[in-house]
Amino acid sequence: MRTVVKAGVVLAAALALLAGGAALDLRGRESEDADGRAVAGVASGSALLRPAVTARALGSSIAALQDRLRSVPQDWRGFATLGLAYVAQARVTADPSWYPKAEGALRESLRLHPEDNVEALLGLGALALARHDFEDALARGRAALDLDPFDANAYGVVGDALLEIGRYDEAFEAFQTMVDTRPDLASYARASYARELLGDVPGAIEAMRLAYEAAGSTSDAAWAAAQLGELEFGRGDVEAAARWFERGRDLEPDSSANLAGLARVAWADGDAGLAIDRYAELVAMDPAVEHLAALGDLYATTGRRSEARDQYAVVEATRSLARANGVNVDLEVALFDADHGDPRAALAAAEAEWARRRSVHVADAYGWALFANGRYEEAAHALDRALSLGARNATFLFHAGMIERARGHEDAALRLLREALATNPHFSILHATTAETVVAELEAAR
Amino acid sequence: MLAKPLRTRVLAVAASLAVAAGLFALAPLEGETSSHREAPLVSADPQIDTTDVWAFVSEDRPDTVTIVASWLPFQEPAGGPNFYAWADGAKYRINIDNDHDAKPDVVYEWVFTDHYRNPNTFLYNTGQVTSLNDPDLNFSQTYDLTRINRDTGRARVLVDDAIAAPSNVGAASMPGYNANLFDAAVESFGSAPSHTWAGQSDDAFFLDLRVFDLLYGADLSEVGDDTLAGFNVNTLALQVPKSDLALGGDADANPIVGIWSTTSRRSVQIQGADGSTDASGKYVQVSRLGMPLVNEVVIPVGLKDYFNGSKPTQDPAALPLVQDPELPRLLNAVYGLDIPDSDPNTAGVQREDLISVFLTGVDGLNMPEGGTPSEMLRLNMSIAPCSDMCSPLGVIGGDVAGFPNGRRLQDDVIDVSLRVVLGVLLPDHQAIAETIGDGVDANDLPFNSAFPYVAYPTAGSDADPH
Repeated sequence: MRTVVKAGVVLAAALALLAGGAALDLRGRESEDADGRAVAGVASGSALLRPAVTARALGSSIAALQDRLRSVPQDWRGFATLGLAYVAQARVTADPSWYPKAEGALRESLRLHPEDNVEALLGLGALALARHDFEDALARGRAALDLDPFDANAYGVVGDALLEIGRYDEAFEAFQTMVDTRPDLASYARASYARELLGDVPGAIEAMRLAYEAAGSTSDAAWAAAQLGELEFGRGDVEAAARWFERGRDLEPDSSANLAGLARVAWADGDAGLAIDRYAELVAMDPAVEHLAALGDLYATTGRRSEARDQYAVVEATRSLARANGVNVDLEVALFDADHGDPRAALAAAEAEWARRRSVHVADAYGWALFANGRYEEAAHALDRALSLGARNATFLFHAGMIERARGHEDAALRLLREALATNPHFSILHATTAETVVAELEAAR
Repeated sequence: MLAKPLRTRVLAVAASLAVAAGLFALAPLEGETSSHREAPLVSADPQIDTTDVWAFVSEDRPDTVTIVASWLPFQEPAGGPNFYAWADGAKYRINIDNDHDAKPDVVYEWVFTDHYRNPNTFLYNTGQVTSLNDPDLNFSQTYDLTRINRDTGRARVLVDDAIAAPSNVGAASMPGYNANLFDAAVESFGSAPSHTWAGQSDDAFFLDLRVFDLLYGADLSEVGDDTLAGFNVNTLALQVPKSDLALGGDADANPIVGIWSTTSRRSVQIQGADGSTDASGKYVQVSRLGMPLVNEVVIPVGLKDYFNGSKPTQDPAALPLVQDPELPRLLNAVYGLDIPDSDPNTAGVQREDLISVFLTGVDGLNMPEGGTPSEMLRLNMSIAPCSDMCSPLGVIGGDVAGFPNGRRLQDDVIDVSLRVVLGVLLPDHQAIAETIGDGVDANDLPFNSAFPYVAYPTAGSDADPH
């Protein structure tokens, strides 16, 4: 169908920016500079794909939407679109203060058009997912599906929420319906994630390749490349991971996921200095908690303790900012604090999240927090849950192995830790060396 | 004229921003933690986004019919030619129903394959490209065109490994683009001969998108600019003898055919029954298009996704929607316009006129006898191209060779559709039904006089494409 007819005139610019075949993200230009000379290094008369900045493109689209809504203030779809744009902006800029703005725009859309407003419901669902309020996301997604049972995006919201809650069979069913309704990057990527969680990494890579090939914009392609890099890195193939991260970075030089991937590749290749440089550059642009924590861990493992403490302090500040904007960060807090010397806070956060939802990731964090507090039997039980789905996740395996060792089950510990290292010897900046050391100790003790 | 303030709830008929809404969610959503993956919720998928279908008796070869369809709208000419590619492996189809049972009898299917001369470079071309086989064209796509006879199940490859015209990067890279690359991409096959063409073209659709802001109570006095001026699309074109489309090969006895496009892509199976996985899942129809503006004028927004995945045989269920579409009710609510009714003596709103235009064909023009009501372009191939009474308003302009008898490139379907919805085909209709429009009456670029007729794309080197 002709999407343009549904767009509205001012949005034409936004469409061209973000949807119209990936238009502005990657500019193919005649490779001549302003004076008409051929650009060095490029054969005369060839077109070069020249990337643009994603955040700026999104920002200018937001401005175009705001302009439009000033002149057509009854455009409830415009408000829903603006709300979704704010959600995206929060992530691109790692600034959660966009979330309340998103909520405002989405509520305005619902106020203007309370019934049959699938767009606003999906926007609220996406917002709830971003804030880690998965029950609310599930309710919004289901409400959207009630209105339009053929909306693939609504299955995405429902499936994402169910997955995070830990209702895997239902989540995978929603994803299967999604991809059978509309095979595209969004649904291929979810099929990939489902396979990964089930332990089928080659199948996950295969599905993510389809997502990469179906990408309708360079941002999407760069995102899919980063996922492929993560999948390769997660199974220990650093070289293949590096190729994907490089491709993603070439597609979109500001892509945080790819830059973070390349930083970890440098670390896996034994160049912690380069990894630190890359992370330092990255956090200046995108101060997401995972990047700050990784940089802190790199400092910590290279003996630069005060710099590590500085980064960890920023993590805490960032978490506070997230909380202030309605984001639930308990899972993240549990893992981080368990790893960084605050076991009681870790357990409190983990217990709170465990009361809310029982996904394998929450089970893993809960178990690791219990371990940090010396509650090994309960920890082992939680890790059983984390590993029950079949995911070959080296971090889970490491946690399980350390717990088994604490329980005095040395054979099981050795098996699990060896499996963690066999899956991905570079699974954690903080713990990979620990795993190697403990394996050596256990082997020596046999 | 239409500037009254909005008085009541605005219904969702046209101007859906649903797709635009998706645009923002596709920005790279970085996971906030490594323990929780966030994927784009909605991804832009312009490669399988059909924009328009045209079908008409060829003016220069009136024994043939030309069918044109476009995808991938809003291509900024200087916007990254790699990415104006066809979806590799997807099925792009033109379906023909020649016995009026709402099922395809003849299917033309294009499937594209990507080719990189050097996959490690980000260059689209490595030097000047002056022919379709030029080694300096780093990325190219070939296609196979297959004709499937649904009645016999026989599939015949008509064209094998033909080359699609590349995106027009600009004059320095592709001097003589129009002759060297666009015109040269016409493929001939069969004895008549028949032709096909695939590549980038100007978007042949023309309208001022702001006309849809009337649904939000906006002032229509400012419309009149072609919003699509200077944007390119990807286009498929086909020219075949009428007999290739007609039932029994007899276009004299069976001149009316229904025509629509579909686009399908492969799904994946997350987990097989035995736990195995198979990426080569079933093909899923993700896009369907016949009549222009059917989604804007007839289909309520909540059924948009349903419609894209549906078959014409499922359309009779949609009859009530066409009987009493939301658009006239909205225009009534916002502007106080009359709600047209083809049978005022029967309770409720009746729209025999819309049913004939969208679902059955117009009696005496392109309505087959005993056909199953279904949404598709219907072309009466026996009507010759216009010679003197030509009108971009087609049938309502007194020119039966035009829309809604098929659709020619120059037909002003926005004006026609708005007028038809407001009742211009009914007796005693309101005056505005003869005048409403978007103020854009022709395409920004001239159409070509020879196949594939669409206008050449705007070049990437054009400093001011819009």
